Amino acid sequence: MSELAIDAQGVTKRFADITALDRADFTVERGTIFGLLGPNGSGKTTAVRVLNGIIEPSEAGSVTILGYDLSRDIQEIRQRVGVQTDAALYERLTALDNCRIFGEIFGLQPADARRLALELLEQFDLADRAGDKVEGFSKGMKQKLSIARALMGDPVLIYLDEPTAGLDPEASFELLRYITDVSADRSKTFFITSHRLLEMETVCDTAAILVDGRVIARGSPSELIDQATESCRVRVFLGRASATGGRGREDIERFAVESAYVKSMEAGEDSLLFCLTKRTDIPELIRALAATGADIYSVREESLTLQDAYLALVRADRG
Amino acid sequence: MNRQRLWAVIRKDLLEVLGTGQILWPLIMVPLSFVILLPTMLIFSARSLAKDPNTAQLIENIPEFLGRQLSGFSEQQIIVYFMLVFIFSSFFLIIPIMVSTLIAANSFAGEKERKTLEGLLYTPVTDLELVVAKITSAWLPAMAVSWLCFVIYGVIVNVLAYPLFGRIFFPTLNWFALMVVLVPAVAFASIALVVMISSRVRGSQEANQIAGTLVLPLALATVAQFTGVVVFSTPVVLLVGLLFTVVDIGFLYFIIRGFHRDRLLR
Repeated sequence: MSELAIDAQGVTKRFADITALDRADFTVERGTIFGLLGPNGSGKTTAVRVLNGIIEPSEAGSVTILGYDLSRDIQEIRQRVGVQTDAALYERLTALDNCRIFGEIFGLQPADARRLALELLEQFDLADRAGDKVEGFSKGMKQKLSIARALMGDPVLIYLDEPTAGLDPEASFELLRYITDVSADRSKTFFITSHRLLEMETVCDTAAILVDGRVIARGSPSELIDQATESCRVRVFLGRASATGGRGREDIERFAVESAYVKSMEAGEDSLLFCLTKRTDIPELIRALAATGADIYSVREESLTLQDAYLALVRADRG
Repeated sequence: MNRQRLWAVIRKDLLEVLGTGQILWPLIMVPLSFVILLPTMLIFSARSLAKDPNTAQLIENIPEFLGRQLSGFSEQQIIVYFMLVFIFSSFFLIIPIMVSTLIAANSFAGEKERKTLEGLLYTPVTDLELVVAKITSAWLPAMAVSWLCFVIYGVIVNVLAYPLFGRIFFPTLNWFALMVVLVPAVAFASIALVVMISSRVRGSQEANQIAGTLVLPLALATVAQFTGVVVFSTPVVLLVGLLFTVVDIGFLYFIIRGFHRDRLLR
């Protein structure tokens, strides 16, 4: 059995004169959580559609999903994959019917489909609304229901599109915990597209950034951060006087300008944020600051977030 | 073709139709008022119709073979019989066309419009299963409503016209041919047309408007009956039914051959 849930190389999709995917590669290991990040219109939805055989690529390259060839074994793939997209639910049907019917389409007997649907609705806090028509549901409830529906076929590969959109913080937390638990316990693979970079950093094992149909960076969140910048940020908390122009402030400013390893300095209310060329410059920075006679209360290295890396990479790509 | 998947999609579509009054009530009320009002009005106005000079012209236009069949009937009986058994039979084709196009447009173009179709395209439902399920889920209610209307029409006609004829005369053989051969074939053709249109239009309204042109040949058929050019006799109904069946097979072939999932998402 292939170790890769998704192995897509050189996928291109053009719509008239627009290239939605440009020789994009997607590699996702089984049992991991993969995040596809990118601005609006970058090709994320097209990627999901192509990887599920809904639209045909203009140039396929090679696409293997769960060890099956996409162009040849699409039925085998669809039987094992669950997709939650922004596609709407059946508003005139009940929550139970929305799930139950999908279970039957995936081959479950009616009684089993009903049982699993009720289990999933319970899991997503919708059991008491199982018999209600979806048209009366809130956005968050619909979101949870569409995820429950995607799980009706007991898929091993699950695509989720902005899964926490419309959910309150508690529901978002529960969902992300569910995703990490299921991924770890039952070796399910998740392919998530999202703009919520903080959540993606927490939950994803690997991610890729898609810009104008091209994958401009890929790796674990920490690898993406490393790719985005080699610098590090240090916040130095000073006495209010030192931070705003009192004792040692002039020396600090002179040091920041003259020092080769300080890339920039920003002043806060009671702190200064230094951007250094590399992490090993931190001890030298502390020694230099101490020499100015400023009142130093504490020093904290501020780690870059996936969001910082994402913005840096996207801006760099766009020049 | 996987029967379980097929029926799951059909059931889903039927539940959607039954779950909304916006579709369900026009589907029932329009045909019902049609089959109740038309014969009632005709039978109650039969006496005055018989005296109308235009009626004499209409009776003159009745083909000879029918004239022999109607020999011994009074003018009042001729006009009522001719209208109920022949003229209204072409009107009756409007029912399956209306029901099937309304459901098919809602189910294919409507799903596209409401963006619910994409969810279904990710499942193991094959293109063939999807097409067959969508056609069936529009065809079954069209048949159910048509047959229900046929039964109601039969009861009304026999009850109201009994004093005039003194016997039960409906349904005649041409009506059985109509209900068993022509109505199913016409319903299928109209659904197939909607399905073909649906992948190229944006919404159900557009699909409905285009499919509405199907009523035009029916209007021509009715005029043809009035002028005596053609009458919906049993051989004619069977022949037209067979022609439609051939057309249906052609439609189905082209739909399956030309069905592309990605076109539905555009």
